[in-house]
Amino acid sequence: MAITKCGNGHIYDSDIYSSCPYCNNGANVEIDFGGTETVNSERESAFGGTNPVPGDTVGDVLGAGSGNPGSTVPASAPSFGRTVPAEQSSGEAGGTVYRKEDIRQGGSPQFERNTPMPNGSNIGKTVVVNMNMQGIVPVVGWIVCIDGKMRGKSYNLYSKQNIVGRDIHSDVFIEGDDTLSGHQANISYDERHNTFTLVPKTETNTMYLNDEAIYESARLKDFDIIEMGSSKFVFVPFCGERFTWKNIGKV
Amino acid sequence: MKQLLSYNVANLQGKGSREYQEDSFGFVNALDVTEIRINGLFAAVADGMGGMQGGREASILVMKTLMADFENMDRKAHLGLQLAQSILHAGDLVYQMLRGAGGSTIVAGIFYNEMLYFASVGDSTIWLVRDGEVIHLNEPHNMKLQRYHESFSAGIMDPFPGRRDLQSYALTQHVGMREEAKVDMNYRPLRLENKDVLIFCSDGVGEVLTEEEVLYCLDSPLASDACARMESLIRQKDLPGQDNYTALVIKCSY
Repeated sequence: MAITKCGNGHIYDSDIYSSCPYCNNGANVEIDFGGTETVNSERESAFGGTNPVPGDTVGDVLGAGSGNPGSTVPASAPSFGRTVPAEQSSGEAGGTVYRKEDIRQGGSPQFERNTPMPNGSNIGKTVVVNMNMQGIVPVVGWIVCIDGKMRGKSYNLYSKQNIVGRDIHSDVFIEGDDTLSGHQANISYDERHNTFTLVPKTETNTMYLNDEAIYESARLKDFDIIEMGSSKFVFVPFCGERFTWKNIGKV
Repeated sequence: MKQLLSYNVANLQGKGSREYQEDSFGFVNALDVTEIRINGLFAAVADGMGGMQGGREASILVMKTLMADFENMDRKAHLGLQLAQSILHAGDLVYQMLRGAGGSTIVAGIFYNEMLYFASVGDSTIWLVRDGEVIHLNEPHNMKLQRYHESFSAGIMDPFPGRRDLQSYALTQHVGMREEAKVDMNYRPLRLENKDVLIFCSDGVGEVLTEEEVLYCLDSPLASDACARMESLIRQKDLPGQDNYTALVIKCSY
């Protein structure tokens, strides 16, 4: 065993390798730890086919180009009793839907971690997306900031109550406007009657709906203008006469 | 004459089930005892992310910058601060190169005068194994932890009151963001002890191996054995979507 260091600061055994196996970011070489079978780390797709998954680069197809998918289990390696993940049925392959949304509103794009999770999806590379691991929650409308620090930004509204405010735990979390209250208002969507209502929730400032001050709940219509804090928003419903979700409660 | 610690080091890396290797890593002075005594030992792992191999470019650039800056650090000044500054420097360079389309985590350590200075941005892991305990030294910069911090300061008991929970593992800091990253580091250097083991690794290891498994892997005098065991455990688990995995193991002894 001849321990050597390469020019990039990687340590390897020069009895086994004539040059550093980690340079080129380990692109080609598999590491052989004395006696065990070598493995090709490109596994065949669990779905047994060539299903390109959203987010992969073009030409990057699961399972393509793998040589012999042998397995390496050195005889002495113990098992620690972790559940082996069940494979997903091929019907679900490529069915994942992605939503693009900044997690930290107003900041630079956040990177989603594809943490290896048992029975997690074989999603491939990390891209800038926001994925709801519990399932996708249907959007029912939006408010779009047309004036103020967050001008240009849209905020999703979901069924039932949407807490709007400066507090970070708000459903509609509005950053950048210090004159907005922590809990400014609720915008609620009533599935039963397919209506939207704006409910003021703060006594420290006044909200305006279409230029009229409101102190009690008010019905919202398409393209109503809501002023809160120092910002102006346009309300845009998605659900209404032209569209509703069925069974919105079952996500 | 005072006996000085010596460091037995090794590394491992694999692609997992990803197409490319986007982790980078490196040691400085790993095999040169004299150099370590004069200038210290440097170890770091960077986990790149981003489309079109931006991740790989980002992590390579971070490693190169840090390793070059390490050579020029003032050993009489605070090494931890200089390490953090170097990380911010790398962040600027990565942002200039990729404009936010790629980034990297970083976990780095300087072993000097029997002290450890470490710094981290992102969700890679630094483990200290001492007296049979695995201690996670750095704070992972992900949404889950950020929420806990915020609710703690606000006095709220439930950090996840909203029904629509954000992806907990989304990174909140990385090297190469438009804003300057917040670097997690120790101001007071950690005094190293006999039999201490330090592990710097990306989340392909940090989120995959349990503490029990890590202790098992370290149950041998050589760092290279530990690496071999860690790698075969990861391979054996064969998790779907297994991320790139990289780990550096540094064993301290007299």
